[in-house]
Amino acid sequence: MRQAECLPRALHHFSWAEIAGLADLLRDRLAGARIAGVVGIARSGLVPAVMLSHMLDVRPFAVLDIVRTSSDAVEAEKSRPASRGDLGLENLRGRRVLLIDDIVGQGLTLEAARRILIAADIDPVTAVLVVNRANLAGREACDIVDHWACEVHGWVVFPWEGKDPGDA
Amino acid sequence: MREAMRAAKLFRVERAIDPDLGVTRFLSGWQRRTGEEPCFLFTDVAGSRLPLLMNLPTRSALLCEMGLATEAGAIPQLARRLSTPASLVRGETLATRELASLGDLPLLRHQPGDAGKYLTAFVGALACRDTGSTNLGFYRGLVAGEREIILFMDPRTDAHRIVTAGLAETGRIPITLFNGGPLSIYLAAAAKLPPALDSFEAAARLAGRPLALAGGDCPPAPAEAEIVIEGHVTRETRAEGPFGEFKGYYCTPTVSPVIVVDRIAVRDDAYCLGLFCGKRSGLTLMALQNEILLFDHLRRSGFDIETARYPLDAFGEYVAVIESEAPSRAMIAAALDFDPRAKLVVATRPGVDMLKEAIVFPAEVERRPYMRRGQAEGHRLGVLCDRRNDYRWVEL
Repeated sequence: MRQAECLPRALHHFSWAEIAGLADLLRDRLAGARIAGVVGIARSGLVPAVMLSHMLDVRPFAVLDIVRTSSDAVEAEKSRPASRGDLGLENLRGRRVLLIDDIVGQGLTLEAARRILIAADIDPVTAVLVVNRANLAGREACDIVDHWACEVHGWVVFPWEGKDPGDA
Repeated sequence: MREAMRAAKLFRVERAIDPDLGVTRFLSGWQRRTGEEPCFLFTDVAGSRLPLLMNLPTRSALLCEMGLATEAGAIPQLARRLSTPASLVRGETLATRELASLGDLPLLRHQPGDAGKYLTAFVGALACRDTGSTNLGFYRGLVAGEREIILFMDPRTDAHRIVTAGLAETGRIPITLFNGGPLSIYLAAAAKLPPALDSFEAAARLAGRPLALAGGDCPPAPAEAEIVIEGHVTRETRAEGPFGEFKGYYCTPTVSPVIVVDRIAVRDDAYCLGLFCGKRSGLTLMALQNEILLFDHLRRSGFDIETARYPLDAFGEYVAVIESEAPSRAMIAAALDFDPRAKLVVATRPGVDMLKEAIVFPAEVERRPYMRRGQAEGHRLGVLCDRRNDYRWVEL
């Protein structure tokens, strides 16, 4: 089928201008969400986390370090998400926070992070810049994440990865 | 369209947005801030339950829908396809949920001076009684009531001829206006095809696969169309316009036929595709079909050309760049003859900057009067950039 031939090759490069735009769209959505802290999922989730922390004017900030991919290569193998620790979570206890990552597909990383926050008595509102619909495995995006600014079918290359579009 | 959506980056706008200039304001603001025109999915357009897609038909999305993964060789391949018969098959329409009013659709007032909300991304299908084929085209349609549209058809088009001849015989001409479906249909609708070639077949040829159509008494629509409006063109005429045209001015009002809408049906999961005049997505459709038709014509005329381009900076239709290892005056003359809308035709060697070529190397010019609505209005130019001398380039 043509669709199947075409789509797995899809590789979506995002520019910094686009990332700023996506963060803007999320800010719009979160403006009335009474967010009292921001938690970024390291590494790449820290970029939108810092942006949204400023845009929403919410200073309390924490980091969750969760690894999923085995390398930074395009189409890199993925394993079960593993937590490697956190920074500053204890300061957010009892608060409603924004839990943010750069991208979600199957949602295992986000789900693992969400469980950690709930166990720490933190109420997370989840958000990502991009949903990769190719990895949803039949689920709806809204079952995985509360807010997202963009959806694609295919692998995403963010500007902070330092890969030139011509390298694809 | 669904495949193009899958190939796109869809930026979701969930805030409530006003179809009366609100979408325009949002898109213009975004473009000013970022210099980019991503594809937006507006999920909450006031007054409608249908999400609205803007800026979808980019070049890569169009090519992907037609199974072409890269730009390389795309125009020659599409031109070849256009000559290869393809089949139309009967399908079941997915647009089965009826809507009461045009007001239920996320239709936009695009520019402050527009006369009202306009249909811009609906393809009009008319049956040609002379040839038995279906004629497809883009027409601007002013929403004049819950079930009334004032449809402007350029008097130079086949559609205008079909409607005029039909209304002279009967008081009503069935018409179908649809939104969505394979984007090759949008290309075919934008193209000036030979009248005997059924536009749906042209779309199937461009896509390189059979096209499923559905319909009853009215001309058919693609089975997978998102929105299907069936109605009839009447003898009643009313004023429509002004409308902000893609070239950056308001067209003058016209007196055009009224379409009475008999049925509006949408898919259960329908999206509405919008096209903004003058923005990249609309111009891309125009450019791509121009490139296919000019390439096909010049190749058939015996010219050895590599590709033809219609830059979007010139609205995808007023400047044609022909790339060939053997650019010639005859090639330029053939292109000027074929496309009377092209104001500037440049023939140059492949992969070079045409402006630099014309400046640095000897250039020859052919000048002809530019005719607009039967009146001479300035001139058209053909420029031959012929690098006769072999200059040695020394910079790394």
